[in-house]
Amino acid sequence: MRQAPRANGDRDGGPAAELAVQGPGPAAVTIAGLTAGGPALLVFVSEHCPTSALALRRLGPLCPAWARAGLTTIAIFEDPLDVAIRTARRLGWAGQVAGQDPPYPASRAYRLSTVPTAVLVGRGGLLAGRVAGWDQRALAALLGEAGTQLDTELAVPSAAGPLTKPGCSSKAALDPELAAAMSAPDGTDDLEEMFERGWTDGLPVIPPTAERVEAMLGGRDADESLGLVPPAMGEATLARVAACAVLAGCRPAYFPVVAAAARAALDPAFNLHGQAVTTQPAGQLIVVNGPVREEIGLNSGMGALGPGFRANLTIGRAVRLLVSLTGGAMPGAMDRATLGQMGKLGFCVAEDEEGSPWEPLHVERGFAAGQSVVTVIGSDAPQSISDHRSRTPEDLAYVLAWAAASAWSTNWWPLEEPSVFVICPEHAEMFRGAGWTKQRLRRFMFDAVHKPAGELRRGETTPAVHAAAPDAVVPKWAAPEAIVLLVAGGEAGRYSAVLGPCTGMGSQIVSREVESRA
Amino acid sequence: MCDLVHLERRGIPAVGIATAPFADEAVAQARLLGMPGTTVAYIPHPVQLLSAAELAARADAVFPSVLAALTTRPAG
Amino acid sequence: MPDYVSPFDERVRPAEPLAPRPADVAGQRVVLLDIRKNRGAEFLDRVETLLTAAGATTARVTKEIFSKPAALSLIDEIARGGGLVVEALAD
Repeated sequence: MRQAPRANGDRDGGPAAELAVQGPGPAAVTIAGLTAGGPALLVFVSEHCPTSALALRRLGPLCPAWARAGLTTIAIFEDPLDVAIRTARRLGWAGQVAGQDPPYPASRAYRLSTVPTAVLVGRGGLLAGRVAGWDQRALAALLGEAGTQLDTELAVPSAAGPLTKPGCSSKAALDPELAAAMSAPDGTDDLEEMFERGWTDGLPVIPPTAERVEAMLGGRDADESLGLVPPAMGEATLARVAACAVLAGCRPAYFPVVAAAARAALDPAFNLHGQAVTTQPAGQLIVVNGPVREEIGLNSGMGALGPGFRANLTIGRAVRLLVSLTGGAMPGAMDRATLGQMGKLGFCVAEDEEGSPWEPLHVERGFAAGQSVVTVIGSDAPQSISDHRSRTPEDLAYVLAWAAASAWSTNWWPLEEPSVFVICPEHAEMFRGAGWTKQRLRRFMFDAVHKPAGELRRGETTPAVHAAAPDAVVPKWAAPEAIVLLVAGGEAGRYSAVLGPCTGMGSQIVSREVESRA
Repeated sequence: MCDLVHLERRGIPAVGIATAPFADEAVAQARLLGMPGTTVAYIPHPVQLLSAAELAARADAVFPSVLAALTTRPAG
Repeated sequence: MPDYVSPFDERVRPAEPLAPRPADVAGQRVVLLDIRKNRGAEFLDRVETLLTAAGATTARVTKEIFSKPAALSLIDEIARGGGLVVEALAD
């Protein structure tokens, strides 16, 4: 008689484990009950397993005769009871039936690794052998053993058809999560569900389970409100902000930055509402300054305006999900941007304060250098500015400034709203070497870009240009303060960038300190 | 509930049948899933130990609600 | 379905509309989706009889695992066939 491997220590002659299964009647199914009139054959099966089906089909017709001879049979399914009953009926199984729900306690108690497994429980409830898989000869031997206990000869399955066939893995032998995933053909149900519900910006998101959101909140008050998020006016409770942060893929350490950015964006002075619904391609640029940059791994070096760094990407994304989900500003619906831009997936930039020749943005705006601060600016997508050959700070400043001449609109001059220049380290070095302060550079750039009104009167232009004398000098920007200067980027390469403004909605630049927690 | 909402989104009218204790949970779930109008018809609890005839009677009793949920024809 | 925290404020979110309903089940295909809980198949047997008597054609589909939502591939397959769905029996 072939035995299943005994690695788990089941010994013939040992007591059969008690059964925790669901039978069709109100009475419990017990080993004592099954073995009251003689030995019992427990046939562990699973509905999805073809070899189990084979076993039930081949053994089923023999059950009535076995029962008359004193051998009780029961098919114990690793399935719900009603599935067990229907499957048994369909396969012509004439013995008893029982079902198991996860985690399949009976299968575990019998240390199954395979279904089907036939276990003979002899007199006194003692184990008398088992056969794993379909093995006609081993089963015949097992039935021989049962017959011996009954002092009779029991019918055995015929030798027609396959004599042996391997079984399938018992669900009990699998890791519970793996078993559940195997039972559901679509293992990515939860990720697809996020798409199904529209909890996404078009890319996969991390499902915001209660545990993940709780971890993101880190003990903060879930019900604290940051205000209403336009345009739908959904309330930005910290719980919802945390949900957006989880969806975006943030780590809990990023949450204070996300919260500060959300607070800044919801400041009425920022006019998030206008930006969220406009036909302009407005995104919310988030600039991070201070020690938090290094604490959470924000990138301010090579690729500073591109992908590759979790903190940058997920923080920007969390804030945008707050706007598009909680705030309802979905593209094609309340978000009416004609073309939009990829910055609306999220745009979080850290300044290279260490490499910059100048005071960083937050210090300019009145914060201490050691404070961690988030600044939000409504802005367009970056336009690259190449300059590899300028030899003087004046020439470089001229090139940088004129790159922005068509920002927003070719001739709509002057612009009140900010243009954000991201100066790369090699360009910044030129100004450092020449001893130029930020203010000097800003003033030079402001003065550099102007045209006579007459040259601006083609296509879209401002009323001021129309009203001015043709030779009146019109600057690109209404004031030097409209020029925002940041330093970031890789140390090699002479590409800076400028981000044009979001215009016509009176949006102010807003800064918020990042809370520090002990 | 999820299944019903997924089907409705694809233009398939769907109704669930559940025992009465499920009602609060179903309403909350429907709202959470963004489709508060999703329909579930209820039969009394419990069902496990009903005879075949009793179970069939439950189905008969809830059938008008099922029709009302799936069609525009008035109930009754 | 796991416990998710929704980013949406349901008070302000426009409710998604239900699918449009036909005038009658007569002539419709009705899929009877069995979630594999106890007595469900038997219950749906009776519902099936009633629907057939009302002039519908029926089809029986079983969910892969009762404790999880149906795989979206199964939902898509049902939807492709058109008609109506009765899902039972949640107890």
